Amino acid sequence: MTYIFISIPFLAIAMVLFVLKLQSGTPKLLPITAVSALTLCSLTIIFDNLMVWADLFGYGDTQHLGIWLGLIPLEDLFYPLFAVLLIPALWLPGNMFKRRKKRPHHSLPTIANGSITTRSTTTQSEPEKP
Amino acid sequence: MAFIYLGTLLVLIGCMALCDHRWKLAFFRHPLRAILSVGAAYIGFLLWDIFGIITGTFYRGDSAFMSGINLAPHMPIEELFFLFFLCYITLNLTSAAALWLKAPLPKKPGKKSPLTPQRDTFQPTTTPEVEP
Repeated sequence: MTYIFISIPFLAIAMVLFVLKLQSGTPKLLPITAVSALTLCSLTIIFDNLMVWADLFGYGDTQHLGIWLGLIPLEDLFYPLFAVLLIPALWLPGNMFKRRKKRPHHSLPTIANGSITTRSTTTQSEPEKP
Repeated sequence: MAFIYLGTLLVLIGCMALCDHRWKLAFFRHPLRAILSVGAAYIGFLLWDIFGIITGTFYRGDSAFMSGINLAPHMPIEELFFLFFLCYITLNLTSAAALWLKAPLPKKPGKKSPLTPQRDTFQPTTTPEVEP
């Protein structure tokens, strides 16, 4: 469990920043992250296995859950997970501390301002000429 | 033999820089934002590694491919380059995915305002006639 405990603070920070960025309305943040997460996790499984096989590093016997992906413990995927949550949150355009406006734009027709009454009678009207 | 791992990492970082330069994915697109994004992840990974070494979660292997230069117990110099490579490839992948999905990225350097005509944007050769 040690590996999980030392990972929690980092994953929590990355997750919070990612959710803030998601709420700020960054376009296509989820699909971008899904693509990079799949790619990076696949690369991690392949190359971490190679690196352990080459004896570049190893793992303690009792610190992980004991679920292995070849020669690497499952927890090793926390590293790419942290990177693909944190880096898009900081890199992609937009301010993560700014919430997306839920209120629709005043110039758009809405049911609330009476521009749309029912679906059947709605027609697209010409904009007023000055 | 001793510098195979370090050499491989340097070549891979070079490859990331080439991709970055070719498609303007990271440091060649918005240097400050790229430094902040990669820097934050890099510091996080270093701390995480230190926690891992203290708790015995990871240990340095005995590979003949490593230089043997250690910055601290179980912290070979190669780890600094590995972590940078991991951050750089993540940033490049993020930008590549965004370009592929036609999502916006931070503005390229030099693009001060979207109203300023750019050389690489389409410009009609003749001015279309304006209705009176």
